[in-house]
Amino acid sequence: MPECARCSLFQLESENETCLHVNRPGGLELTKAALASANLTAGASMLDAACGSGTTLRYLREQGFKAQGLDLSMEMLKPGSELPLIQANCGQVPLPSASQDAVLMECALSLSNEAENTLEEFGRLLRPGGWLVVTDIYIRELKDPQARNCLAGASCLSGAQTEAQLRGQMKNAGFAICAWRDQTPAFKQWLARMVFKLGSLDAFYQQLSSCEGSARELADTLGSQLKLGYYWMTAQKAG
Amino acid sequence: MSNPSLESLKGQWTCGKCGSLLEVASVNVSYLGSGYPVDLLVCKNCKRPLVPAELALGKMLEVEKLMEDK
Amino acid sequence: MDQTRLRELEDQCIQECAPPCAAHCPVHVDVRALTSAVAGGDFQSAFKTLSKTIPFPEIIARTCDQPCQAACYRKTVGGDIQVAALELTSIQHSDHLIAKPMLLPRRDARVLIIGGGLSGLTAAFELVKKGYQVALYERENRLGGRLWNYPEDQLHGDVIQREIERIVDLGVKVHTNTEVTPLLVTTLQFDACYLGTGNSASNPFNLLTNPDHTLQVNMDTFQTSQANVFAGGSLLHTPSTIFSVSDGRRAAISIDRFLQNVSLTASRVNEGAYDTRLITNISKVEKVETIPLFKAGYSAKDAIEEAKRCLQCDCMECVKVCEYLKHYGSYPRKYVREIYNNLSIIMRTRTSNKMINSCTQCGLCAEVCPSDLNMGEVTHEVRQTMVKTNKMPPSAHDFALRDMAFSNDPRVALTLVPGEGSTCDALFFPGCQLTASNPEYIPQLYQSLASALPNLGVMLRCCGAPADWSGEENLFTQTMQEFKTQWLALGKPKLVLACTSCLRMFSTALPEMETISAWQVFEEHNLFPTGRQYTRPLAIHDPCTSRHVEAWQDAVRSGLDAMGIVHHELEMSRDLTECCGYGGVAWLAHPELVHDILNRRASEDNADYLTYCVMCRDLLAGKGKSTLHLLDLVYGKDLDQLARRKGPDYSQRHENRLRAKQKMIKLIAERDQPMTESYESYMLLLTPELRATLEDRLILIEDVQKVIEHAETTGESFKNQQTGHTLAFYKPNLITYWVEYSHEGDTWKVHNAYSHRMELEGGA
Repeated sequence: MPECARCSLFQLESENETCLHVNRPGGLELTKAALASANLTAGASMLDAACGSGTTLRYLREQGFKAQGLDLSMEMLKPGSELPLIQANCGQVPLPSASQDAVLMECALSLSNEAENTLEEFGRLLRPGGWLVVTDIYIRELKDPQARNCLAGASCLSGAQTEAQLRGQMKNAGFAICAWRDQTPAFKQWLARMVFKLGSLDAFYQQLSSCEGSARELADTLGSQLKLGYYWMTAQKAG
Repeated sequence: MSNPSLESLKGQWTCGKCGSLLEVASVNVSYLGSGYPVDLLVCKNCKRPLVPAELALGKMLEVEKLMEDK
Repeated sequence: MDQTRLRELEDQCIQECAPPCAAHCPVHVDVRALTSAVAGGDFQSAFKTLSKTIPFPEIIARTCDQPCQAACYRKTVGGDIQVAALELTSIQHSDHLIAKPMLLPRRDARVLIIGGGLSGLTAAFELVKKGYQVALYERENRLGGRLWNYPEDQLHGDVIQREIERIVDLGVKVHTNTEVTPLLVTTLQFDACYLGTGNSASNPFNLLTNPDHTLQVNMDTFQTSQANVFAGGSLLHTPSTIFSVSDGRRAAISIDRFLQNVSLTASRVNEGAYDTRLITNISKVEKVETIPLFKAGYSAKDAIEEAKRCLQCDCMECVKVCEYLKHYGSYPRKYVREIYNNLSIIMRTRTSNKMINSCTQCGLCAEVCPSDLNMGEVTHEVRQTMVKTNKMPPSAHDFALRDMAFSNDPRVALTLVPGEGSTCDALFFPGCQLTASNPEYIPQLYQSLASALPNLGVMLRCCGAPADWSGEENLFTQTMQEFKTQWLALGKPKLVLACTSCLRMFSTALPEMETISAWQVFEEHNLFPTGRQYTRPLAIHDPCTSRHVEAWQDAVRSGLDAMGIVHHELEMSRDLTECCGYGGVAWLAHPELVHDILNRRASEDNADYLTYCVMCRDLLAGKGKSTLHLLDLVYGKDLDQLARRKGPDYSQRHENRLRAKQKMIKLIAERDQPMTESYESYMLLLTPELRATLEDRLILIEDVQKVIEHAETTGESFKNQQTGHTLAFYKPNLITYWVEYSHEGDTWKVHNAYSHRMELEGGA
């Protein structure tokens, strides 16, 4: 079952709310751009899967969407929050089939190794023609297929995939991708902030990794054999 | 954010222009359109910051490479 | 790109044209598939391929006169393929069962077939399948006609009977021993007739004949002078079983059309034997002799060997030489279709964007294409369309376009003429990338050229190639216009170039402008130094934009000769040269592909390479291939080190352009000023270790001197209370340099130096 809880990395960012609207690359601006490419009207029913601290969820509700959040953990949500929240796994959402006009998932598809199940479940939740909006990390360049093994020990990135893989999975899950935009510059800025916060990229890799060895492997591979990037995409469920 | 190496440098440097002792202040460093705050020794009168070698060859170099990489 | 243009382009690619064997076979047996199956020992599917096209496979295998062999590409390299023998072996080593064909629903129209030879039987077979009511009349007491004339050991009567029976059993009403006389015709009821009466003189319909008494027959439709009567087979030509089958089938198509009252002639291309456009390059094919064939035919083993000789003819010339065309696993005809579809899609994702943007537009495909299809031109045109229709992702070429904008920014670009005037006779245009990679060569090259060309101006800027490659037509035009305005103001000087990409851009956009390469000037005025040496073998890598620019190619070679440098040609050189991957900004769209492109080029020859495009040099050297630029040989000292050096990175390239500008201003505009710069008076004291560190950090001695001069003249510095050292920074252009130093006697002792590109609030 997919783990939709956020890893330590994203929690780390949330300490510094002053320079960030939300705790992920591109911030709320990127979310807005992605949402704008889906044809949604106020009143649409929407699920913010892996909603984390709820910043986006709050924004969605301000925009007049009937949005509810979904997360495995309630820890990130501010105490006393009035936001409607379902505590569940992304692979088994306690909502009826074809009940949603849109599902949004930000920076979380790559957290699990079970993107296929997750996408299938979103396909179930969406009505025909419903929108899936995803923002996430992906493998932008892979010189050597072996290189991706380095991600195995990196909690947040273990499920990162190539664009071709993601497109294939979307197709298999019955989605037609309407827009795919590379957002790597936003990701780089986010990484740069990490370098200033933690002191170095190595420190960042250590934060990501389960052990010293896998941190070194990450440092050796990222940037040379494997390059990460960031994207948003909008897709429509067939029908 | 406290920075032990910065604290140790603090008493050592004066401004060549006005002679005053440098103090710790937050300075914005930027590259290719994005900025990041960082604590540095600064001359409060002349507004000139001091970039130590370890910052230039460490974090700054890493970020430069990161942002330039295609 | 509209439908018409798509068709034109698709048509230009001959890869899908039939191989000569199938084209020359009047019924178009897929010989290539058949030999491929036999070569793999799969006689069953070889038989299927044969029987799919021919209703009498064994009769044909035993009697075919093999028009397929006439054009076989194997002919001259060991002998044509024994196709009929392979067909026979396929029959003998398979179940040779033919499934009963699907018959279309019954139609009431009646067709009369006169003559039970192979063409009449084929016509009967085709028309029965279409549901018509077919009656066949044969004068003799058995069907088969001329087939019975073959010796038994070649074509046994059992084979004839077996294969004919299968046709008749489909529902043909056969009347043997019946000669169709004019009288009989009047009693028969039919809507159309096929006449396959061989060389018998019967003419029951009293049809028009030629002076030699042969029937007048339209050779495309097989229609006679009577609209509902068609004729074919050996009454039209010398007996040939395969042509009889072809005639019967083609006449049946006409009869079907006649009965359905549609055009007999519309879209009947490539029926019967024809010449294919497919060309297969056999220059690298090794000769393999035909496997000897005895009367009994081939054994299975021999058949497999013979079939392996088949070249499996196709074109793929461009795919063989281009890593890009190879990468996407297909060939231009398919790519063009994919690109067209990509353009017409509105909402769906455009998956071919990357493919369109990965072409280096080097034009090698057109060089090797038998019909000159240039995928570079196609992708170029499509990129322009995408930009115009807002379908090009904004990020696709951003990096290259920003680099270009930097080069042409007034703060970076330079136009300068010597002396008091405002015009010049010749204008040195080194190109933005040579300036960025090797700024030190710019003043040197200028001085060499100026020694031969009086009143030589200089212009440092980008020619606009990134805009052109990216499909940014307007930006390219605007860039060229800016150049042209200046060129006109300079009095239309002759342009002295050092980059073939610049040449390509200028000769496309400003063909009226006279250009010459720096290398030609060197050649004409004997400016190449003599007695140069390089210790390892050196092969010439021509830049892709030098294709068809023979004057440049020649000048480089004679320059090498003049310098005493031993060199040799790569297999793919001059007009057949390969792109390094920089062309068409492919390196931005698809770095992995460019990696493969470079590997292919680098591994072509064990020698080190010599080139005259700095991007080729930097990219090849970046992949570990020792590569020299022509100017390294002219001005360089440590050639080993120069061949191995990596090109500078992005920021350094920008810095270098600014440096070159300052040097050129110093050289041309401030000639009357002292040659030495004021900062050069600061004598430095450095340990060898620190000197090495500065080299690693790409900090020049003059950078250190500039910082100290700035600090000492302005007082802008920091003082260390414990060591007494001074720490100061200076930012001449884009990079901020820091130096920690102390003043000792007449010299300045340097303790440390470092730099950064990030910018700080407060000046640094």
